[in-house]
Amino acid sequence: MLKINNLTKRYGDKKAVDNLSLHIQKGEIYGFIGHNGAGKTTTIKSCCGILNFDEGDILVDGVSIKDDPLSCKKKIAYIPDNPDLYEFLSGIKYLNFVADVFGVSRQDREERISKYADMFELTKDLAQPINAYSHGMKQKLAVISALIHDPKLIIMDEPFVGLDPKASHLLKQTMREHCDRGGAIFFSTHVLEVAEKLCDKVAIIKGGKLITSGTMEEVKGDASLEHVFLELEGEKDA
Amino acid sequence: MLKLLISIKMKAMFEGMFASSKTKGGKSSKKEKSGKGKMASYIFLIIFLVVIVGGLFATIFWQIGRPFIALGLGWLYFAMMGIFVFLLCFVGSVFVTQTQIYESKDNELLLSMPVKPSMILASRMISLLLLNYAYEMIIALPAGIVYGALGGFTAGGVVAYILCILLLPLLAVTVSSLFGWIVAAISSKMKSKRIVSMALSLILFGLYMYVCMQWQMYVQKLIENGQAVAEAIKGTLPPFYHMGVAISDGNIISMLIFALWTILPFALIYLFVSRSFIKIATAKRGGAKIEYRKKAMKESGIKKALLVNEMRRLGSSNMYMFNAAIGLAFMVGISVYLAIKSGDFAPVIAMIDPTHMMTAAMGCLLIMAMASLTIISAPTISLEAKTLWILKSLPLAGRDVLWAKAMMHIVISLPFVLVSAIILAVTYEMNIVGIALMILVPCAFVALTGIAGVIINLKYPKFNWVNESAAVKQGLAPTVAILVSMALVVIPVLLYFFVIKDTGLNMEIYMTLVLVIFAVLTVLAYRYLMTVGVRKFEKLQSE
Repeated sequence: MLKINNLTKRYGDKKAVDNLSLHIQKGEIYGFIGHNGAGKTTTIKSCCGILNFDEGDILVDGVSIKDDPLSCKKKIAYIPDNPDLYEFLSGIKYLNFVADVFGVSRQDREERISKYADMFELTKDLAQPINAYSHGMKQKLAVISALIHDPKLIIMDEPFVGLDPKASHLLKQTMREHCDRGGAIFFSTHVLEVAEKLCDKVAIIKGGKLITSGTMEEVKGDASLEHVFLELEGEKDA
Repeated sequence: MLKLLISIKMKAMFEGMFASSKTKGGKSSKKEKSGKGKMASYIFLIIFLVVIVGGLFATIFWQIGRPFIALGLGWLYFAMMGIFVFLLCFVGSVFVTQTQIYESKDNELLLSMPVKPSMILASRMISLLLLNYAYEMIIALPAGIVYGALGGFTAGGVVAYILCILLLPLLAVTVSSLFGWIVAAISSKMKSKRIVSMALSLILFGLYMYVCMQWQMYVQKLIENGQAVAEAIKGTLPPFYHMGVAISDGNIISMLIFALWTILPFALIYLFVSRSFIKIATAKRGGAKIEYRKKAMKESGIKKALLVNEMRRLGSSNMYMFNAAIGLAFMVGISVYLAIKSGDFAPVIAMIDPTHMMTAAMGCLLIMAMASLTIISAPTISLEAKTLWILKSLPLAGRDVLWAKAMMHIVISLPFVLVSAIILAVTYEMNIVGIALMILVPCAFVALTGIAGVIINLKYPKFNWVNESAAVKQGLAPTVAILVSMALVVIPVLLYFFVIKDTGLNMEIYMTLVLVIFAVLTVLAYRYLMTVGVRKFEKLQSE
């Protein structure tokens, strides 16, 4: 579903991502972990077509994002680390805008908005302007807008930040269901316990380079993911 | 601490003016050069505006200076200077006072730090004061130079002149802070904060424009009735009277009285506002809670969705509407005024312009001049800033995004152009060709300036703003857009008077020629936007 081949992204002389390759397949929840500034957000933004990259390629369902970005973006949903949404719109108008862009039919958008807004307990607040929303409410709205076109691939940057425990639980459940239906999820997180319980595969990045990747069992073995992560970080530092 | 807070505020203000989009790392030398180039361009623009406006004031002071000095009313000359400075400073700062003091986005951050709220307020008011010194120079400097040239200054007068220049903006900051407090206090208690703020701002701006439109008449009356005006100012505006006496006569007592008139109210308003600063600054924004009820939704195409989105952004912000679209209100307002006054102009027009083609040209010019003040599309890219990721991550073609931004400017402007043209056409009984050209030329102008606004903003985007007023009002894009629009109005006029008029080419053909040129430029600008513009948009990064 998502193939990152030898991705390199430079900011000036500094390589933010250095020759990174990953393969996320259908049905997988793929966790992406690393310390602050490791290159997670740069990789994610490159996958969504927000950032141009210098070398390598990114394929979404076999289509290069460089060659046909619109076709790739139609299959993707992106949830950023900070939900900066159109504050001048109400929640429902924002969702309707996103549905219009993806060409979601009236019936489908009504059904999906109703389902997910009810699930995340945001229905009553949908008429409110987004500038009156709390961080958590904005995050919920970003999640609903990502699900509105039933994407094949969901890419998320720190999706649990700002969500209350119930919403976090519901999001994890939704992620699992999405992958069980044949979708794929690639997300970054600092919450290693969540990654350990939720992810089928995991990749650890440091200084723009991939340190390790694989199934959860391959990466952590009998130890905890936190232990492995800290150990790998320490090894690289040494 | 106060110094630090002021320097942060001023730094933000200057960075807001000169800096544009930031990208991480790299190409520093090129970026530095580009930054220096932008700064140089901005300084050039400021100097240009100061010279033009300063020159205008120098002319006014030259007109009133001679008779006042001859009548022994030197003090009235400086009292008038004081009133002009006060009005300019007040109008220049009143619209930013509320956002700078109460709605500044760093209020909560600063209030969470070990900084006294009174210190935060002081830093905001002093920053406004520094801004007012810049406004003041546009008037006070030419006034001083003209007075010096007319030979009126004494040594004591020069000292008083300098002291008065330092004290005078305190008055404007006092009144604008009070005004900002009233607006903030009223709107924080009302459901429709936006409407209250917009209504008060429009009333104030309408009054200011009314005074400006009557300007020449006031200057004439001042010259004719200097003695009577002097008595009136003496009795009703004592601070300006004492300021005038202090400068013209070097009178120390008047100087002290003027100092009291400026410092005391400033201190009082500071103490007064500081009592409610935290309450207003931390008041929850937004109206009453509206509960959503599920209802049938509507589908739209991508272009329509983008266009409606742009319109909603404009409609949601008084500041954006007020600064970028006020020319449209003027356009209709002046057309209505000319319709009401048609009895005065119609007989003259019938005598000097029997075909009414020159009248159509003047109408066309008037509509374009007002449309040139409309810069709706010029900040549309900068306003994306932190939300640029939405346009970039959604499956949207750059062409559609840029089309919507230019089209919003055109769709909003055209009804105003049509209404104004119809009012003028009906009132002044133009022929069908005149009416058609008076409508078509401004329409082409609006299309061209709408597209040009987006192109200019792509060239000079600004994403590092804290308050969106910085994207709409400051920076190169809005300034360049307004200058380009004005040039598109002025150039055909100059060409007509200096080249075309002597060739005997009639006005119908000339206006048709202008229409064709505008149409061709519009097509070229559109092609540029859809090719080079799209590539620039795709490379844009807001962080």
